Amino acid sequence: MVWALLFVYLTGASGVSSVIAILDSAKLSINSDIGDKARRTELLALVSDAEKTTKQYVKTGEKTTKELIDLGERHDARSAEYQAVAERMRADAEAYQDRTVSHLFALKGKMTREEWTRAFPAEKAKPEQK
Amino acid sequence: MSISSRMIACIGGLCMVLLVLPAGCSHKPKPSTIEVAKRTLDEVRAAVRDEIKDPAKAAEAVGLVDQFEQLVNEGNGARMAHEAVLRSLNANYDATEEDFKTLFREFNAKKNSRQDRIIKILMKARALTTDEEWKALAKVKSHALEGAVRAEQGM
Repeated sequence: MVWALLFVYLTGASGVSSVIAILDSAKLSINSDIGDKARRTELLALVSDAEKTTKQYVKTGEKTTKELIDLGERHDARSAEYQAVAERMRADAEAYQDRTVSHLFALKGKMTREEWTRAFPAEKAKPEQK
Repeated sequence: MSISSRMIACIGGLCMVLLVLPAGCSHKPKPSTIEVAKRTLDEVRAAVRDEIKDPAKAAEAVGLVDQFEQLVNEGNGARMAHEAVLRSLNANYDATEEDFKTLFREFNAKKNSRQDRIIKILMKARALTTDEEWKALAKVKSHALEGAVRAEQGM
C-alpha cells in the first residue's frame, strides 16, 4: 500500500488540484460577473464540461491506484508489470492535459480579456524574505 | 438594564470571546502531503531495520528508502513549481495553447523520469528482501498517507 501511494503521490494526477481551483474560480466569477443569463449559462456549461473531464480522469486514477496497490503487495511483481501501468498513466495524463487545455481555450474564446482578468487575477509576487 | 450595565455586560462578553478564541484556534494545522510522506518513509526505514534480518541488506534497503525520499523532495518541488506556472499562464489572457502544451511536456518528461527511477528502486528493494520480509514491510500503516494523497489528487 505504502509503495503504491508514494508512486501515485509522485507521478499520479499532478495538477488536478490546480485545475479544480481554476474551474472553481471561473464558476464564481461567471456567476457574479456575467449579467446576461444566456451567456452565463453557456459559459457555465463549458466549465461543467471541464469538470466532467477532471472527474473522469480522477476516476481512472483511482483504478490505477488499485492496480498499483495489488502490484505493491506482490513480492514477485515484475518491472514490466509496473512499466505497463506507468505507460497507461502517462497516456491518461497527456490526454487529460490536452482536453483540459482545450476546455480552457473554449472558455477563453467566449470571455473578454477583462472578464478573464477578473476571473483569474495575476498572483502578486511575494516580497523577498531577508 | 441601564446603558452602563449593558456596556459592562458587552465588554464582559467580548472578553470571554477573546479568551476562548485563541484556545479554539490553537489546533495544529493539518500536515502537508510531503510531511506525511516523509513520516511514512521514516516508518518504512524503521520496519526495514526490524524486518530484514541480514544487516548488510537492511543497510542497502535503508539506502533505497533514502533515494525514495530524495524523489519525494524532487517531485514535490517540481509539482509546486509546475502549479505556480500553470496558474500564472492561465491568468495571462495572451498565453497560447502551445505555451500550455510546452509546460506540460516539460513537466511530464521529468515526472516520467522519476517514475522510471521509482520502478527501479522498487525492483531493487524486492531483490533485497524475501517474500516474508516484503510482506512485513507492506504492513506499515499508511492511512494518513492515503488520506493526504487522495485529497491532493482530488479523489
